[in-house]
Amino acid sequence: MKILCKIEKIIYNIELTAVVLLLLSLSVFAFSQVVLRNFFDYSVIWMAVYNNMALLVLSMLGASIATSSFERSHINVDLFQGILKFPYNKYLNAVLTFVAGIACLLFFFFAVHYVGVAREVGKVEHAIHTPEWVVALIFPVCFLSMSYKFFLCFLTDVNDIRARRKQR
Amino acid sequence: MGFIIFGLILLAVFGEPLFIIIGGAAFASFYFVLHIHPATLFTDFYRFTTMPVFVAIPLFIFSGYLLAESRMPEKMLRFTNALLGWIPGGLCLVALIACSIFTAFTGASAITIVAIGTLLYPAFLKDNYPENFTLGLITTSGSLGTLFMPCLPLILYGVIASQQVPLNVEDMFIAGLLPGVLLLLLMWLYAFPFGLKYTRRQGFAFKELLAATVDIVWELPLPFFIIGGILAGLFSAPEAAAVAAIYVLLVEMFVTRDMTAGKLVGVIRRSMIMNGSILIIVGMALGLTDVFVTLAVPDKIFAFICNYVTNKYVFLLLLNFFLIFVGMAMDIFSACAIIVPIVVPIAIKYGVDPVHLGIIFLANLELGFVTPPIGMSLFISSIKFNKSFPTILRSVVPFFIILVIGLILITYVPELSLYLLRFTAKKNLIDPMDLL
Repeated sequence: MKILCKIEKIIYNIELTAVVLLLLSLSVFAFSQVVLRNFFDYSVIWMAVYNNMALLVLSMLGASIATSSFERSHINVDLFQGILKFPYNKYLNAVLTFVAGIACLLFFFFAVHYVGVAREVGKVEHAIHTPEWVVALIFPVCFLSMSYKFFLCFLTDVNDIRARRKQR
Repeated sequence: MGFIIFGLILLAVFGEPLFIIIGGAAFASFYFVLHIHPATLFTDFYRFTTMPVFVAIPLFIFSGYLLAESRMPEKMLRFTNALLGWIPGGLCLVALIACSIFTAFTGASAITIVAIGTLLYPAFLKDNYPENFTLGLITTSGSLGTLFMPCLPLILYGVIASQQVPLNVEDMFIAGLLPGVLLLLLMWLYAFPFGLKYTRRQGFAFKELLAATVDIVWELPLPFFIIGGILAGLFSAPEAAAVAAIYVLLVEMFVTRDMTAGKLVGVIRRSMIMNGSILIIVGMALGLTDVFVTLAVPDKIFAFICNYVTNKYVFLLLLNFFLIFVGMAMDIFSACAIIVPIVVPIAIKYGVDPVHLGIIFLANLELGFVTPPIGMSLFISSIKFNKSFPTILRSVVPFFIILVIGLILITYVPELSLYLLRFTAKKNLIDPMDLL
């Protein structure tokens, strides 16, 4: 379990570093575009394309970070979590994270298929000299990461139930 | 398919992340109903990269979080208090304006209740305002800024609705101004007698106003930049977001020094978690919208509703009931992603302007936040101020009635939302697609 948590922490740190760099570059490039357009009547195409790609990557990475066992900040309806008491809330959490893990694993396989198709099509984002499938890789990478984290959340919940039962 | 939908609804009610639910519904629909590979959804998701207006979302979230984490709440309260606090009932006006501005920038009523409410609550009690009134005012004010630019739900509605009808995010920004001011005024009218009764006899202190202005001098131009820039047609929404993000970052890091490098990483983490949680839902919802359009779901719903409702005004009334319920049960971002693609085409068939619909939509969700028994702001206030849930419930009732009156006016007087657009339509606002 400790090793699994360590791996999660490493993934988390890599994702966070990427998010910091991407957001700062996105802000700087988007601002530069405003300055260039308004004062020099000029626009840098690769910056605009980069910003759009960065947005997609940022969104997926942000969603992946939100899944981490120490964040758990995805948007949900959450009607029962506050009402149910231990151990039922933990049971419910465990079921939900397990289902989410399976779902993300499925999404990962679909995403891999999408990347394969995009690779065959061979479309290239010329402004940044990058094939579309390379950008689309963020889908399988992040869904795999989310699946891993959801399963880890599931294991954490199960361990939590066991530990608290022993305490009692 | 029916079994899958039932299972997904059950999971959603029990608290499964909404992106899983929406994604699951979309993937299942692609596979079982449209008989195409579920991976098709990613074609819709990838459309993010062709819609530059989306760039406004992470940048506005980032600048909002930066402001929330700085000394901005204290500075803003000090300034508005120095400016308006001397008026009879000025503290109520301070609360309403400060909460509106703060929610407009952070896009979240929860943050406003926590950040501004915590500062306001003792100030109200110090002035001997009844606790019930104070709790109600702070709880409801938390979501007041939803209609003011550059609030995130306005952008989200604009972006999602623009997939189906020609609509500018900038139009939404402008359309929200008058209805937003109306709600603020109605709340102020109710609060005014309390203000007269419990007013603090402090005079206008020019020195304090000057000191407060100096304190906030770097942040003060920001709303004027954004509102002025967009109204004058100088900025598009993504451009305004970029200017706001860089301006706030530079000011908070290097001028006021409220932000350190370590704190900045924390702000980026929290803001991008918010951004990711919202945009993954929107991405999945783009796929689901594709399914809805292919299956002509809105047309079928419209045909069904037409059997019972033919009048536009009755439709709007029913829509209000439905949206208040949605606002109670769901957060505003998920509601935009899921409900907008279905409601917009139906409402247009009833002759409702899509911009007006957007304002009705958001005003309803704003009300849903404080609608008993499960509005989100009620829970947050209950926890934050350590008051029992029934206490909070009782406190919001009069404010809830005021907001319902405002909602009725917004719904049945479309000019409130559309009047200002007449003046801006001539100014050729920048189309975000020009950025490419």
